[in-house]
Amino acid sequence: MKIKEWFASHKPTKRRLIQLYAALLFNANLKGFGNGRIYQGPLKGICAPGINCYSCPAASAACPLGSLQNALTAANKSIPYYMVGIILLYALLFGRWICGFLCPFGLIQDLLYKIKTPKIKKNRLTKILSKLKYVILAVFVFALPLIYAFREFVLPAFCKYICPAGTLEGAVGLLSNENNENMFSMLGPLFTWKFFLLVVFVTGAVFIYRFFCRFFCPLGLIYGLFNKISFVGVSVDKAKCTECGRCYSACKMDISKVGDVECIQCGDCISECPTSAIYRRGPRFLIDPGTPNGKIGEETAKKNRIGKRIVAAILAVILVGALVYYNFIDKAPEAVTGAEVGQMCPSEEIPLYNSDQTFGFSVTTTNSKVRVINFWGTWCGPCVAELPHFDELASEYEGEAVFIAIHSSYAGDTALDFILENYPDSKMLFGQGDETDSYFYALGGGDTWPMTVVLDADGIITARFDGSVDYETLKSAIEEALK
Amino acid sequence: MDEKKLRLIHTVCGCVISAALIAAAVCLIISAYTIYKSGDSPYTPESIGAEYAKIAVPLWIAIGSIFAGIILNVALPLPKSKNKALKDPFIKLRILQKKLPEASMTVKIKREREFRKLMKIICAVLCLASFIPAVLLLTWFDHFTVSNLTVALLETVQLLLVGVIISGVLLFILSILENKSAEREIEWSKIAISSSEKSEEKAPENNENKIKIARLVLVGVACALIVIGLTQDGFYDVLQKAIRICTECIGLG
Repeated sequence: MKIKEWFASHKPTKRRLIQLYAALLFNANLKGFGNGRIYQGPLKGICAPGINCYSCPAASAACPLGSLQNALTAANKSIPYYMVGIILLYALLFGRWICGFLCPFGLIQDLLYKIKTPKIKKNRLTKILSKLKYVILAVFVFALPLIYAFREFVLPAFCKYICPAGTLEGAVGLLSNENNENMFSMLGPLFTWKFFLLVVFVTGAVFIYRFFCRFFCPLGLIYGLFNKISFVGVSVDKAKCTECGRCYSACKMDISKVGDVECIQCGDCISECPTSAIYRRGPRFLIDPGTPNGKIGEETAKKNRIGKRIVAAILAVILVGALVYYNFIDKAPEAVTGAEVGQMCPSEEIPLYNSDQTFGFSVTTTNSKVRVINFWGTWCGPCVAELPHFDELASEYEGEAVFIAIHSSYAGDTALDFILENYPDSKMLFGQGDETDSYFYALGGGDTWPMTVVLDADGIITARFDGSVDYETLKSAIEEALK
Repeated sequence: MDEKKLRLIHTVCGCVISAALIAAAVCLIISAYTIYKSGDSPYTPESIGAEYAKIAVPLWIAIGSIFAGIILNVALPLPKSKNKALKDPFIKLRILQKKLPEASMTVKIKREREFRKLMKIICAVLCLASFIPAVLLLTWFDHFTVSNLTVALLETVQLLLVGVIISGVLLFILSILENKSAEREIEWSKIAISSSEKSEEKAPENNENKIKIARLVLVGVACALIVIGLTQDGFYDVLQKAIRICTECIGLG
């Protein structure tokens, strides 16, 4: 009987159902958990509204914050109209309703807060700490990516140094699959730092409501700035409001008043208001039954109910369609199927920059020497960061080994300027062509950039590094190939 | 069982769960740091698994305590608290301020407000000062060579952490002082209100039309930006980044 009562009093609210729905829709590529690969289809160009790392194996859409930072890292070449427009549109349509209802990381925090422990309630200190978001937005999302963009370096600083969603959904999600065992070799100080932050954020969320959202989330802050003018939101009828302060007491966020920057529009205050002064604005199908703006007639209420059912049916069809598409129709590669260590390296003709682009690169062109083939891109921070090691080793092993850095097909037009500016006298060979990506896959490249392959004098692959490789590791791989 | 006993059981259980969770979190952090410091790079699932196997007991205790909490909550649910009393003095103050006409403000009330303003300014200056070393390092571009970037930025983060800790302590002290000041002002305000007549409330301005216009204009701007972005391959750029894993961007290294 008690269990029945408990279930009756703990049945999921409409908000929780929407959160679960959104989390599943934005992570519909469930087969990714099985094969350890991310979804690579065309729908990945669409941004989900909430924080949801696009390197998560299940992610079906891109993360707006990650995409915004990446767009800003290319701000020296083009203005990020698309990402600014998308985020502005989301903010105007939904405001922080996205945080309360659509963000998968918000859902995780909500569930963590359900663990029965003593809680740290909002106070003056948490209110002051909530301003930390402004610093993070200014420094990590805008300043650092922009400053480094003009220094020709890709640095999505928030993703790299702070974002716990990237660590939990992306890094841990990928590492937990046995197909990605090679990724363990990349772990170092950065992962230790990110893991530390993840543990702090997860533990913090148990004791402090929406620990990450309240103090650290820059995306929530951007949306919050539009809370007052967004189509969907929470408003107060000032004529009815008696300033009793119950809404403030019921709210777990650091609001000063209902609907301000901090309000995630969860609606907890609506039922607490003794004069029904608080109401939701926006389309009827998003408004809780029984809390409409003002009185409505029986006929209108009936129409609203029908409308909501139709919308629910459409949403259910969309979810089922997404699950079927991502998991059964999409033909993304199931597993890495390229050449493996110990096999002969396949040949490919790729135009080389420092040879007037007159001849193609192939394993036979530079035969009888050890070859180090690196796949990189100007858009990829780790790729650019490791190039100096290659340059140094290319000088060190001149005559014994050939270093070929092949730029990705994507953003290929940016490569030549970068090379001329940074490596004008390099002993490395630089190449780029439309065939790069297919060659990358032929050599066993998965989803991870950069990748480095070492060949011995016979053209046999002796080592392959997915992700960055440090100077010492690469040097020992070359020594091994030289034997 | 009476409510008092029930609350006591829940409090004790909550404290046990908290202790177990914090212990597990500390163990996880220590293990991660130990693995990093061991320098056994390149790491393998086996080497990392072996280190984490050492902390299996506290992790299982933490998980077990969470489930114990759920079972307790089902078996002996706590009645919903009806205590919705307004605790934050600043909200009380805001309500009182609305009722208090400008002319009725006493010197004591003004003094309390000035005191809080001064405390905020001092605290802000000290907080900003605590971040100066980190900001100086951050603007020292030569330190951030491309090959040294991760180490240099982690150094900056360490300095930022010092700033965060100092600021945290300062803000904690500020919050206590502000609360005391607000409580004093509440008392003065109550006295001032009781000795003055209530002022007439101004009717709120109706800004709805302005908001609607601003909203529509901004939606138009957003759509225009998206269209311009699409013509400049913005969608393709997002797609190309999203389908490739930038390992450093997700913190792998």
